[in-house]
Amino acid sequence: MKRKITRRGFIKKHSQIMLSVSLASYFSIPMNVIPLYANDAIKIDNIHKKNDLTILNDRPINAETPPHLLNDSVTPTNRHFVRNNGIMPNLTSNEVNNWTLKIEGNVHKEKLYTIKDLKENFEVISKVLQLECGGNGRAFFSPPTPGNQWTYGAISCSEWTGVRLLDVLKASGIKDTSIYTGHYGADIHLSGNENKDAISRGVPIKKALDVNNIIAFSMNGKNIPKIHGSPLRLICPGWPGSTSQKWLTKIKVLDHVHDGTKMTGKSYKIPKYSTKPGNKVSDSDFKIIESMPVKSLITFPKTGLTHYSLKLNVNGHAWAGDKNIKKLEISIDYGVTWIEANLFNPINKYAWQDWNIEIIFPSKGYYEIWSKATDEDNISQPYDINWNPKGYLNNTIHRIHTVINV
Amino acid sequence: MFKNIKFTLFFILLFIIKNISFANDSDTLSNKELLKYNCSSCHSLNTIYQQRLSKEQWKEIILLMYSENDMPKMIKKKEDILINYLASNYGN
Ligand code: HEC
Repeated sequence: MKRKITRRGFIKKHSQIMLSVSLASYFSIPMNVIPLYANDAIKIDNIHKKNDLTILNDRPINAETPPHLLNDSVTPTNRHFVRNNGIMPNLTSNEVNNWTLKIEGNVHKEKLYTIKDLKENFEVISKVLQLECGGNGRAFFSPPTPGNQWTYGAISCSEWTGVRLLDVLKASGIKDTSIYTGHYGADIHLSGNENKDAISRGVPIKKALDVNNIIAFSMNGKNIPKIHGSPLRLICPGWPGSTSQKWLTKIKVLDHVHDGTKMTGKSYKIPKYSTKPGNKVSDSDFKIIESMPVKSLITFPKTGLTHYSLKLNVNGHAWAGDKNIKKLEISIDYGVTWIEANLFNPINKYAWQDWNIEIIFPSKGYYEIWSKATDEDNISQPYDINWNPKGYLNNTIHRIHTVINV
Repeated sequence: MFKNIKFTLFFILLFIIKNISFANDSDTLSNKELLKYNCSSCHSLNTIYQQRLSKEQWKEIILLMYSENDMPKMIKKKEDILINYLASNYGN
């Protein structure tokens, strides 16, 4: 019980660490002296109710969901992965209640909205939207690439309620010269430098004006939990999750490609040309990732189990960033033959698509079950990784294994 | 209430650390301590433990920490020791 309380104190602790970081700079402590407080093992809170997730990092908190826990059509909040780049803002209820969103930059009318204003001025909608981290699957890169070593579970499809980004941008009158957006949030850069953003990414105007982006204030019918960006976050479905700014405070309309934190260098970028695994690529040869690629997951059964029947029901999801899925196939013989699964329509545009199949195994034995999705443009999942230096976009077919014992 | 006392003590401790810090000569630090002192103020060492990177990649990571993340510059000697330590313990 005592331990639980400590865990809940995480955010509090974090703010103390922040203070110690700023204090450290005040006293200009030499680099090799670290404030003692920051050395304490930091317990993870806010992730209570997220006990089933795999924690990749505790400071900042990054956690993913094992595939078999993603079986629901709509991802429950406690099974939604967590990607944090900075320190979560320590918000008072006053700050939450008086939250504002600023729309500025290359617009005719700059605006400042409270959440109440947003609800009153724009149509409130709910949509089930897939959100995937650009680095999902990085753990399988060979040679390895730096960053959080996500395996399969930095993907979700929860229900988000809010107003359309399109409506809000239109109300400000976007100037014709606009080409990009820049998104800003209240999280703090890990260095504690208040003039730096932890992350600030954006999307081309064409994507920003898609009707499916939501400025959300609720997740699965409840207020967004702090760890997922309360009280306001942007959802740009189908694109790297980093474009879906958490703790959203400001959207800037730009006449140039956004140059915020993690828009520059090699972040969320892949080489313009395919690259020999392990090769170095210069910054100028990178391009920004846009839509996420076609991908699928087997969410039932859990990998590694023994089953005592030749018949096995298998199911999962498939998604393809901006696109729809056309076909889902399963192989139980290492890709020699494929069987088509039942594929369902998405709940709405940008929701992942459920699929299922009853497999009849020819005999007892050890099997791998592979799933391969094909999108509306006939593009399928690859067998192996198209290597890139930062470990993005691994959309290889999903493989689980099972023993059939009859 | 108890928390506040703890917090005040922490300030005082910080002040003391500040004044004795130069006694902490870098040469006496083990490689592990070198890693801890230089790389765990912003994020936990789990950020590092997760990685399996070549020496070249570790060099790049440290340059990235300087250029993008406000990490204070280390002296060259310590930097080299750290890169070797990282490549041999968290290498690929
Ligand atoms: C002044 C703050 C600061 C210090 C000191 C620091 N880092 Fe970082 N580091 C960051 C930030 C900010 C990130 C980006 C976190 C994110 O976006 O998830 C980061 C990310 C990383 C990553 C992941 C890289 C990637 O491509 O995602 C590695 C590895 C890393 N740091 C290693 C180190 C090492 C090794 C040291 C010590 C030599 C160090 N860091 C010291 C701030 C710092």
